[in-house]
Amino acid sequence: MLKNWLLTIVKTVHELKSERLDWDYTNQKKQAELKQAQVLAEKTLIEELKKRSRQLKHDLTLLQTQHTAELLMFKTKCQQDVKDYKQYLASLDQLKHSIQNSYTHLPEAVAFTIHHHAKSLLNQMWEANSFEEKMRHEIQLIRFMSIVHEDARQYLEGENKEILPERTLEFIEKS
Amino acid sequence: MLVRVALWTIVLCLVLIFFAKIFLMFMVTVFAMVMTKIAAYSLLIAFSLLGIAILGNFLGALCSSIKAYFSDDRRGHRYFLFLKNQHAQKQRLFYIQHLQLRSLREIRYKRTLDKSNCRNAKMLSNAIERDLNRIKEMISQDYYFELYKENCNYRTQRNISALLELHFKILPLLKR
Repeated sequence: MLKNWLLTIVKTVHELKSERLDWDYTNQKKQAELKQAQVLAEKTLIEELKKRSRQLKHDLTLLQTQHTAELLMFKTKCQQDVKDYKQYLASLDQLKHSIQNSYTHLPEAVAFTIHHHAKSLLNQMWEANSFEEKMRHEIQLIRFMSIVHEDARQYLEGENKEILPERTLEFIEKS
Repeated sequence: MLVRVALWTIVLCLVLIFFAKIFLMFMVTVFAMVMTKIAAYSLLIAFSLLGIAILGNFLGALCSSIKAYFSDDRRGHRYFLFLKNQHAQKQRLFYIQHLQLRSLREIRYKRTLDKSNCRNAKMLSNAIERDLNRIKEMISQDYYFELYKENCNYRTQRNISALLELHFKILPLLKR
């Protein structure tokens, strides 16, 4: 009985082996094709990766150059902005002196008010978020400064006999 | 293959132990001892073979993993990911540097504005002080000190609008 049992097991094992060999034999061609396709796919993948890496490296070099140029430009612009702001402040001080020199009896409070208004216009211009808003404030500031200079000029040339720069004060009241 | 040999050796060992037991039952101790010894050695050999097989499999797996790690496609993929990461890092760095420049500009602007405000407040306060000294005799001492204190406070606060208001408050007193 034990012998029969062992023989059955051995027979089953041999059958399974032969089945597997048969399957290998019939699918040999397909397996070879699959292996070849796998090798080919790997090669294609490697080529594709190399191509994309080359492209990315090129893009990186371009990006680096672009960023360096943009940062340099922005840095110069920032420096120029601060310089402009300082110049504006200096010209506002000059404006105050010129109006004080023209109107000799002008109370200091009025001269300071004119200066303070011009400065707040300048700050509004500087702190504006959009370009349009900035331009609007700049035009307003330039208009204000030209009115002040015009008042001073007219007073000096004797065209205007008023004690106070009326047009300038009117402008301040309006805004 | 090694595993198969090891398993067969274990089977052999079991058979030997079985026979040793039978010999012992029939009191043939010499054969029983010999067989038990052979069984013990064969068990030792079987386990050694199993250990060698496991170690061999482990080393094989390790070798194939290392080979796969350094294979062309994996290396290419890693290099591609590295470049992609570098690309993202460069973008981030650019954004941060841009932000840094903008902050620096704002700091410079605030510093210039503060300096200018301080200078203007000082000038205005000095003018107010001059005017206050001029009207000192015309107003009560308490009122004078009140105005003087206000001037000092606004000057410390650099509040130009308040200083201007104060100046305009003094102006009518000057004209008296």
